[in-house]
Amino acid sequence: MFEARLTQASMFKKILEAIKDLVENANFDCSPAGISLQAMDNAHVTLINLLLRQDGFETYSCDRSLSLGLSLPSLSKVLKCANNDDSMTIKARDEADTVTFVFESSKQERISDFEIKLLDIGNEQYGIRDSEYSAVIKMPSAELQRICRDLSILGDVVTISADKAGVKFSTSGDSGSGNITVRPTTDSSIAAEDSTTIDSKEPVTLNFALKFLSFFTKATPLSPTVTMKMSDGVPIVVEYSIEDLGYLSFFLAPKLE
Amino acid sequence: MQSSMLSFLTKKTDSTSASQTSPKKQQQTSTTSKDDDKKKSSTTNNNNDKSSKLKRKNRDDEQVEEEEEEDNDIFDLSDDDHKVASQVSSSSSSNFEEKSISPPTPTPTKPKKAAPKKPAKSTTKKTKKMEEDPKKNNNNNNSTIPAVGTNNNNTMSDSQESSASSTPIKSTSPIKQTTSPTKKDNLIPTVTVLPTKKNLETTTSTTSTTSTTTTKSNDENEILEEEEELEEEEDEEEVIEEEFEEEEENEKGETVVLKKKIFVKKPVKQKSTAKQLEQELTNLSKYHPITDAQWKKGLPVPYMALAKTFELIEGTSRRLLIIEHLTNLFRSIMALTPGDLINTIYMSINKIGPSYGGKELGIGESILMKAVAESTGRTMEFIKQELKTVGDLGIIAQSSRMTQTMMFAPPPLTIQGVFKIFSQIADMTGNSSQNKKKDLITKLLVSCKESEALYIIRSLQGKLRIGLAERSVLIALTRAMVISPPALIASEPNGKLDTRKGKTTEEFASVIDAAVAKVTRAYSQLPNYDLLVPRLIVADGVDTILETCRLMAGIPVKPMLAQPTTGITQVLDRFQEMEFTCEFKYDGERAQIHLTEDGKISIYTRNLEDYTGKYPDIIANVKRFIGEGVTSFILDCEAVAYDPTNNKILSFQILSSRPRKGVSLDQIKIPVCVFAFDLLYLNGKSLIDEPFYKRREVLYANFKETPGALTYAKHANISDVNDIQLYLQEAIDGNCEGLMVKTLKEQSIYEPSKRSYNWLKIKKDYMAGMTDSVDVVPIGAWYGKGKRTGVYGAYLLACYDDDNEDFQTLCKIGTGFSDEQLKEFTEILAPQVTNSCKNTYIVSDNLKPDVWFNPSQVWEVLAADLSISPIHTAAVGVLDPNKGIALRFPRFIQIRKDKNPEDATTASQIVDMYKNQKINSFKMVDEDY
Repeated sequence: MFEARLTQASMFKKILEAIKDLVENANFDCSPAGISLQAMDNAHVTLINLLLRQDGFETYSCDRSLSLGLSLPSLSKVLKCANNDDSMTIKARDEADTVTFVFESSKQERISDFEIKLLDIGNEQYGIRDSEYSAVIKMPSAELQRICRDLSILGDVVTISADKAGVKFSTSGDSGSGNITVRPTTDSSIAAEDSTTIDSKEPVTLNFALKFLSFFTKATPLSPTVTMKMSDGVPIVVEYSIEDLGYLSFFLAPKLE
Repeated sequence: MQSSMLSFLTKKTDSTSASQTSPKKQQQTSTTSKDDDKKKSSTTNNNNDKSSKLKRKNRDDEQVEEEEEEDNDIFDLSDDDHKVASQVSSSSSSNFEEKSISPPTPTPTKPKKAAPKKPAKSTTKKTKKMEEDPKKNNNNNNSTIPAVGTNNNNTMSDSQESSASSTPIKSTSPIKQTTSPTKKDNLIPTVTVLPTKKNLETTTSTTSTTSTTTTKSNDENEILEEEEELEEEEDEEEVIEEEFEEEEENEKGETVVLKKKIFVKKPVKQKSTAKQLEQELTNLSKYHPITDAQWKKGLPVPYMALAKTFELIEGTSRRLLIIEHLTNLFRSIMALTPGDLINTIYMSINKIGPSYGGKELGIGESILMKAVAESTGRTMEFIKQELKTVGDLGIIAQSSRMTQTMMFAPPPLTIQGVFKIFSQIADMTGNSSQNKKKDLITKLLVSCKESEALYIIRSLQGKLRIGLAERSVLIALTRAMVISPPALIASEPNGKLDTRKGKTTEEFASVIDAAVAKVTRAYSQLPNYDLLVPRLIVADGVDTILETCRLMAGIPVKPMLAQPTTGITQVLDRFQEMEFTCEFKYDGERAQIHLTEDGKISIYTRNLEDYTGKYPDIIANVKRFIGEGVTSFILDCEAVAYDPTNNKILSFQILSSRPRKGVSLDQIKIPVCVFAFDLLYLNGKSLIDEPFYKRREVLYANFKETPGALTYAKHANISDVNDIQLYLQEAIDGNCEGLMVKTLKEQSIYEPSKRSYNWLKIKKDYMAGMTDSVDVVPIGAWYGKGKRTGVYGAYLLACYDDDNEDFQTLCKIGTGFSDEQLKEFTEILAPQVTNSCKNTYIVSDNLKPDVWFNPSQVWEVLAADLSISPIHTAAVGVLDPNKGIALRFPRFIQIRKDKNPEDATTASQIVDMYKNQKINSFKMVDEDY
């Protein structure tokens, strides 16, 4: 038996909004430690890595690990039935073929439950070893969203080059080219949320498909800041931490010239 | 097309991964001893006359080699990563060019021998490399970066090569671990790859080609020509000591080759002499279905095995070789994974079910282009552009290298998996089905290696174009059954599985011929591999196939067809001293009516299309015309449009205006009468082995002539020339096409799907067809595809309307041209290309040639006849307010240099020609009886 209650259904909604365009079906792996999700898009270009720790839930009980294979478009539709201030409870029996989502309004006057059929999705786990990156950039998430939106007007590949002085996003297309440089915040009076920091060991330059990066920025509502980690020749990591709950990170394999 | 970031992340199947990684890291590099082995094996490959001793030695070495190969893998991956990393950072475009075109290769999925490693090996090779490859050296310093495996391919072909030199690996622990390089400063995420078990155990690709040669026990050991050619790309440099260097060379070599091939059609058909052919066949006969196979017993057959076979087939034009290649694949499948045999057969004939099931692939080009663009990270424009020069989307898919790297390489494709997705795609309907199809195709393409993409795209297009006829598939299947019969597989599962030993070629050929005849006949009675194959792959399957595979009501068979003749005398020559009968040849649609024991009635066309939905009236009539006690039958007949009030036969054209699907009984405006002429099956008993006069008797006894529902085909047992001539005239006057002449007693069994000389047809067309040629003007053209890449493949022709002074389209033409003419016309007409359709051209919106020409030439064209057409505009409004006249089956004759475009045949002449045809009844599909 698995049961987890989240005070804010809206949080889960936002997570789903961020990933549903990248992956169609995914397994939510529920274990005593929490809920995690790993999935790649069809073209195997991006990897989504979501972790929701059990202590972030209002209540959480999971006797044995289970995998809930869900169609994300269906789940997203169900979540649309929840109001933002509703609480959400996920329930599944062991060996079940459905999962139940219960939404309760804050004043308890409205309770709705939805059952979604589980899918059998081949499960592959990808272990991610976190180690040091050449550049770790922390910036306001809205800023990244805007950069992606602005550059998408011109091109479909973004070149990101980072060094101590700043991080430059550039693109070029048939109609022209554009560069946006973000410098680290020096003014200490600015709140940590709104400031940019760059921890650069060595300069690094990588190309990425702007399309995917733009998809990632759909996670902007989850967190005021975003962390990007880059090293030459490896996928970029774009991480949104979810306060008190866990994180949602995206890996994107670089494009060659 | 593959690349993956294997080195970045850990793919784990269980929790053991991390602990297993660490000891491996120290042995990334391989040894010189490996290189030596390599050299040995390559020399063997290259020198045909090497003694088998050496080969055996090689085989002995394999145990050792295996371990070394593993090391090698690890090394290569890491090294490769460096290289790519260097490319990314230095943005060297030329490097990328090489990468981008080199052919995709499959993932290394070698099971790992769980033997202890010798860490001592690590440095030797690396040092060497540094000396020899300065470019790479640059990067060895900061090569801590494990990197994007864009070119895992290198690694992969590398590992294949190494594995190729060994017999299939007897793996104990199927865990593969690849580590990224560890250097002094371990900056970057290091990685272990533990692919899933399934993933691992399938050995892939080139393995077998090489191992074929290596494991050959024979002293001669000639390398098969095609295989050699295939290998060349990988093998030619093998003598070079430095393995990586060699890869590099290959990449370059490949680049050049592919670039050249862009404008030539890729497969170069070999013209070999009879002697060479014999030699190749001898070599192919040495194939060992177990050790030469690319996968192991019980595992799903990798799609690569089929793709490789397709490549070999496409590489030759010799039917015997084609059959032999396929035979060998079938033998392996029967010995190792018999469950995949049916799917493999369907894939070989590019079907996804029995042909009467109506399931078809034939995906539109734009969906495929989108999928190719998405899976390779290229733009649609780029692919469209490329398509103009290459002409084959499959080749583009194969040669488009990804600019986008991947997180993880997907597991290799299996025949089962591909077949399943093909079926899903074919079954998909509804609004978002296009997108879903595209997604599924993208998914398939992402997993493709080497030529897999080529054949997947072509399969999806519905045209494999490798010169593999269904008949060859049947022969190959039979051969495989005879050479490696299931009984033999059961008794010695690891043997050579070859019954040819100890038989002379002639003896064996006669056994094969007899078996092929049986299987072909069995298939023609039961054209369904799902039913046929299980009955065939049992002990004595071939011997009993005709008993086990009988005609079944509900399963349509291809109808027997007649040979055309030019006149009555020809018929008499053929049927000297035989009893024969003449039948009216009705001008309708061939229909095969089935009634099964459970009362289900279905109707199929001669192409086995299910037309049950088109003829609810026939179904309703069946009850009226069957005799008492008839519980099941298969009736061969002609469905003809019929005017019940005047009891008159109507023309085919009227029949073809009936809607095709979902006709409801009360909406029928054009009634149909069935003209029955043969009965194949009655009450559970097949009649096709009975002589025709008997079948006819049974037909007359069990089916009642019912006005407007069923009529026996009118016949006369006459043999005098004059009688026949009169009878023919009578048939034509009765709105029939002509006469069918059939043997009555001897040689008169029903032979499904055969165009038999025991049935002859005399058609009015053959006797007095369209004798006048037409002079027309080419006004537009379509780019050629496949063989016709680079020239215009089809032209749009128009006649001249002197009243309105404009050109009206008459037909599209693509036949009658020689290759030289195609080239010549392309050159002549290219200067005449104009940007858009001229306003003097009257063209339907449905016709969109790729280019338009100024009117400049007149061509003489001969056609079978003329028909009313909704597409073409010749004389539009004269006979039908919205429809014009079109030429049917036009053939190019010559250029009329003496004529100007305005001297072309006029629209009014076309109208006259149309009117001069005796009955204007033309068949769209059913050209032959």
